[in-house]
Amino acid sequence: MERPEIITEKKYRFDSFKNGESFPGKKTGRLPMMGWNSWNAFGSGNSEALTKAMADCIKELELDKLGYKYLVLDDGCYKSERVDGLLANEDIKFPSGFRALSDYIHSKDLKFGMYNDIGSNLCAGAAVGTCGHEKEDARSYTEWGVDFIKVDNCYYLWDNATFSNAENAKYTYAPGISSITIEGNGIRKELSAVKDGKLTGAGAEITDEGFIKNIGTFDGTGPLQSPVGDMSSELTFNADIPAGEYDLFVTYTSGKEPGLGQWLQIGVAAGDDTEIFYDDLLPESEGGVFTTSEAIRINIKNDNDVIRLMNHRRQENTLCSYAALLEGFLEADKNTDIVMSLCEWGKTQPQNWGYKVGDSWRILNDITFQVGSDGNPGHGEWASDYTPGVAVQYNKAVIMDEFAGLDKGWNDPDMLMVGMDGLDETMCRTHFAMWCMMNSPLMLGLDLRRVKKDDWIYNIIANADLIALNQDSLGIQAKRIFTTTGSENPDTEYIRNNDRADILAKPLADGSIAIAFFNLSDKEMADELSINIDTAVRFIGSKMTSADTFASASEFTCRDLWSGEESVITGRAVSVRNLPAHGDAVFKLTPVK
Amino acid sequence: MDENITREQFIRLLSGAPEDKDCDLLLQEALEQRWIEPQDLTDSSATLKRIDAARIIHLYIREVRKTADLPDISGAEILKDLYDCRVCVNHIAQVFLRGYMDAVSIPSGKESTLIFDSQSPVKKSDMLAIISNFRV
Repeated sequence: MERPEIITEKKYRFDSFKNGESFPGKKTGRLPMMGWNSWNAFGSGNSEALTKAMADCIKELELDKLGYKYLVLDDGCYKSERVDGLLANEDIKFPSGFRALSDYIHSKDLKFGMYNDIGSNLCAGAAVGTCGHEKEDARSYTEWGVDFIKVDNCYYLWDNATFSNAENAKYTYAPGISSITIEGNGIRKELSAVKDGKLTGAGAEITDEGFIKNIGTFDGTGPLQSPVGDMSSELTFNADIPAGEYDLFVTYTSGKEPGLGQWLQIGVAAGDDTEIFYDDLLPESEGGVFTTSEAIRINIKNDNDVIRLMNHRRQENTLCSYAALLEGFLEADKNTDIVMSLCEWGKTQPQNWGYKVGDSWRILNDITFQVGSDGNPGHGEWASDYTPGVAVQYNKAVIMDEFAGLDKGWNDPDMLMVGMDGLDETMCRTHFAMWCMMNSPLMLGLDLRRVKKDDWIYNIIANADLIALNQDSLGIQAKRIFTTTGSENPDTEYIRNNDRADILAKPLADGSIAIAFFNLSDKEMADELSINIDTAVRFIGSKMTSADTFASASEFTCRDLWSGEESVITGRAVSVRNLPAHGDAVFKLTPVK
Repeated sequence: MDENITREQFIRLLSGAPEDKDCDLLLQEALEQRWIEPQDLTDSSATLKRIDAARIIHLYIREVRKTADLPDISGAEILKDLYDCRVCVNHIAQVFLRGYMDAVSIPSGKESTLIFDSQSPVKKSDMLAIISNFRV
């Protein structure tokens, strides 16, 4: 494969991202997935014996009865190369093969998950990525009875992802553009990108040298940028010319680095009416010199149609790659029920398009880079300057509720770190409660042989009341309705300073709501934290089953979802006091009268 | 001229195996002991990159020498490319913080930046310096 796919259908285009239409084979109506994934527990050292032991533990601890059904083999389970073009099990770690392991897991009424990648190789190095092998791999997975596939993004050919060629940025950013010229129908217009063009969206910039760069989708792998709002930019021109065919010339300088690439898309008009007239690499310009393209024929259908110079390929290419795998599953079994967990680390802003092909999408790079091994629980952190840490992942996910839902899928702030070193019991409780409130997938990431019924880890991961929030049939991710930073837009403002507490509200199918208090800081919050029930209704009322009942009620039962204690609230306030560092409190409120 | 080395040469030296030990047997044992990956077996003659060396050393000290990981790896964040590879972060951090492999300094304006330089080959002199940590 020498270049990204030619896109022939509008459904893969940026302009279709907001149409709400998922692709054939993508199921809707699924609640967040629950299970166990091998990565945080064993890294690439997982084995058949360990996986079977985890299945046995799930049954012994009766975690399956709480919803933990999927056992997912992460990286490190395949031979390092294909055998006769097909995926094969690594002989030492998985001697009986994947079908046998699948049968073992299914015999326990559990579900079997595996892992692959849209690039040429897996992240740990094996040269068995699905790129170009989507159909045969989907066939293998179907033959092995795979119910769930986590799909990574290393060695991706069309972006500068992990282990990819850094120069792949040429595919994902437009060249620097100084001007365009339009000729035809007796008209010749030269338009300056800086003076006559208009920058839409976010990210593009005017350089001191007088051209536009950074036309593309910004990289969401790290925690710097908000996930809410525009993720890309376009350079648009209102050429003020009559309908007709014209030749368009672009004066540009190309590069192969983030912000300055070589791939240009030229469209006319907007939304469904957009027609794409160019979608390819422009010839490389030499050494920062500006050059003018060959004539590109465009058709202005309506007077004053907007001409758009853009590059949405970062998102479109990745969507196409995941779609190819989903199409492979559909071809292997037209009734496929495969669960697809997108793991491109938020790089291409999958909150915009992931719902079309996936059941969940990672929102950042990994929650920990210090995964465990057999006998070593690994290490997790509460916070860091990069993506490791409960708070880092939470800070992004907590304002992404509008991207999630039963008709879409779920934001994935990565697998649980409950039980890893570095996180105390309070942190783990809060971590679990956060993930439950945010409808995040609940994938356990610890060696379950370390868990005993009724020990502190068990009492967290087996809290049925909290799991019920995550698995509530209404399927609404909680919304942040208050934060002690004083934000006027707590539901959408991206806040990375952890010296604060948040309050979240979540509507439930039975007409109740859940209210959670999270102390992100390293200090106890001695002051009272309080939220008025009417504030909650104001934020989430449109998603509640009975907002009016709630608004008019004068008495509520209040169930503490950690202690199980119930009390009655007669006023309009829900309050906590002395919330410990990294601590939480979660209540379920039900109107009485 | 300092020459490149192969994965097999490095694994052999690190393991302390005699020079005449059969290559397949050597690698198979290392794989069973969980300190190399399957691709080290299939690509044993590939040039050893710094990232391969970091991974192999980290797994060797953990799986063979039973040395627990350093829990705090924040000191490795001075390496500008630490997070470029998500599955390599801990390997790099563990060997860098223990002093088994050094950073590489590259000019950055008037100052310099430290990187791990994962994709560069390991030279024979580098390998001998690394191995000396385990043969004292």
